[in-house]
Amino acid sequence: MATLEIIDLHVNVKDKEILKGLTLNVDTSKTIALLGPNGNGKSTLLQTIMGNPNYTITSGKIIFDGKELNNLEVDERSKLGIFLGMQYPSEVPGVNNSDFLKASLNAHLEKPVSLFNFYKLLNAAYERTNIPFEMSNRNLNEGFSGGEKKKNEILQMLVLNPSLVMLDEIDSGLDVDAVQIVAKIIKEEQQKKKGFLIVSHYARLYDLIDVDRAVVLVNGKIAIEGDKDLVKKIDKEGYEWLKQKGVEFQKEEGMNSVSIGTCATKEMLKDK
Amino acid sequence: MNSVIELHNENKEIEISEIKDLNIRIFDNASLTLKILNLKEENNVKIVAKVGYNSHLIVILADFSTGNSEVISKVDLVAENASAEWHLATLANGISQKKFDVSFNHLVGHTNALMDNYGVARDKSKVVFSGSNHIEKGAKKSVTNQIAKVIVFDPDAIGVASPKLCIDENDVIASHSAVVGQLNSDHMFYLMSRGLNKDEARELITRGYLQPISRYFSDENKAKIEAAIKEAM
Repeated sequence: MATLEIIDLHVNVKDKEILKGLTLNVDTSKTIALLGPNGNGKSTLLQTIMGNPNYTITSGKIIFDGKELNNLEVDERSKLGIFLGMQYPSEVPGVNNSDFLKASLNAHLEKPVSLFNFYKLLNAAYERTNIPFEMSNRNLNEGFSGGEKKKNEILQMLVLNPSLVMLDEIDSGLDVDAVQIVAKIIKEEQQKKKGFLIVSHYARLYDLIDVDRAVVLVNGKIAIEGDKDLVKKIDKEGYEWLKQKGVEFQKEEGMNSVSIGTCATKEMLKDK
Repeated sequence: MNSVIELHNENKEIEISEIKDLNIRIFDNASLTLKILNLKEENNVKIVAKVGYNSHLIVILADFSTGNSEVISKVDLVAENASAEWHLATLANGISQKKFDVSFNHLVGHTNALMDNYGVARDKSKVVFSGSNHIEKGAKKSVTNQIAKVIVFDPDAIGVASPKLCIDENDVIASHSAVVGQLNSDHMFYLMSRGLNKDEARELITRGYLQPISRYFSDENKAKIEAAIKEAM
C-alpha cells in the first residue's frame, strides 16, 4: 500500500507564503475530499505535489511511496504514478491529442505501446468518458469547451492509469450529465484501490462517489478533519462556524481581483 | 538562377525542393500553388509576383536548412479579386541567421492577402520576420492579415517579428499579430505532468508549431520535414 506523506510543508508563490506548515498523511487506496474557502491553499497543495515550478517549497517534505518528491522533476513524479487533473487545463496549439497521449503513455512504459493496443486503450477511454473519438485528432484542448477540457483530463487519467489521482475542481464547467459520467468513472477507479485527492466546492460530486475522509484547509493549514458528514455540514453551513472552533482565517489585505469562478493563487501568478 | 512563371486561365501546383529567384506573373483567372521545401545550406533569393484579376497565388515555404537564409518576397495584387497567401515555417539552429522579408501590395480594391510566419530559433541563431502589407489609396474593401510568431528556445537565440501594416484607404480589414517569446511555461508543466521529460515536451511543442506546414506537401517531403525537425531537436 502506497502512502503520501506531507510533513510540515511551507510553500511560497512569488514571495507570499500560501501553505504554512501543512501535515497530511494519505493512504493512497483511499479518497480524500479536500475542502476550504477560495485562496487558502487547496490548489497550491496539488500543484506543489505535482511539482509546478511556480510553487516554491521553503521547508517541509513531500514523500510518496517512501520517495522524497521535493527535488524530483515534474515528469518523474508522473512516472511514480501521480496525476493531476488541472483546474485550468492548458490549450497547446498544434499538439495533436492522440500523439500527446501516445507520447505520455510511452513515457510511462519500458517498451513503446503497439499501435493496436494504443488504439484499443484510447477507444475504451473515449467510450468511458463519452467523448466522440474524432476529438482524438484535435489539438490538445484547443477550442475545447470548459466541460470538454475537464473530460479530457479524466480521459488522460484513464490512459495513464496513475495510482494517486488529484483532481482540482474537475466538476466545474461540467454539465449535470457529465458530472454523472465523471463520478461513475471515479467510483469505478476507486474499486481498483486507487487514491484520490479531490478538490471541489460542491457536495454533489462528493455525494456521487465514496469519500473516506474530508480535510478542510484554511489559511495554509489543515483546520479540521472528518468524514463525509463534514462535507455535508460545510455544504449546508459554509465555513464561518470554524471561527468558533478557534480556526484562524486569513486577514483581508485590501481589495483583490479574486471573484467567484477564479482561482486566487492563479490570479497572483498573473502579476508575475 | 532566375525562373519565370507565367499563367493564363489555368490552375497550377508546383512542389520544389530548392528555393531560387522567381518572377511570377499570374494573369486573369489563374492560380498557382507553389510549395517549396528548402533544405539547402545557404539561400539568398528573391520572389517577385504580380497577381491579376480573379487570380490566386499561394506560396508555402518550409525552411529547414541548416545554414543562413535570406528570402525577400514582394507580391503585387494588381486587379480586383486577386488574392495571395504566404505560409512559412522555419527552424534555425547553431549560428544560422534567417531573414524573411515578405510584403504584399494591394494596388486595387477587393483584394486579399494573408501571411503567416512561424519560426523557432535555437542555440545562437537568429530568425527575423519583416516586410509590410500596404493597402494603397483606392484599394477599398481589401483584406490583409499578418501573423508572425517566433519561439526563442535558448538564452543566446534571437527572434524578431516586425511586419508592418501601411493603410492608405478606408473601408478595409486589416489585422496584425507579432509574437516573440520563450516556450510557454504552463504548456511545459502541463505536458511534463503527463510524464514527458523536458526535451520530449519541447520537441512536442516545437513539432506542433512547425509541423502543420507539412500538410501541404507530398508524403515524401512530409517525411523529410519530420526528419529535419527531429534532427534539429
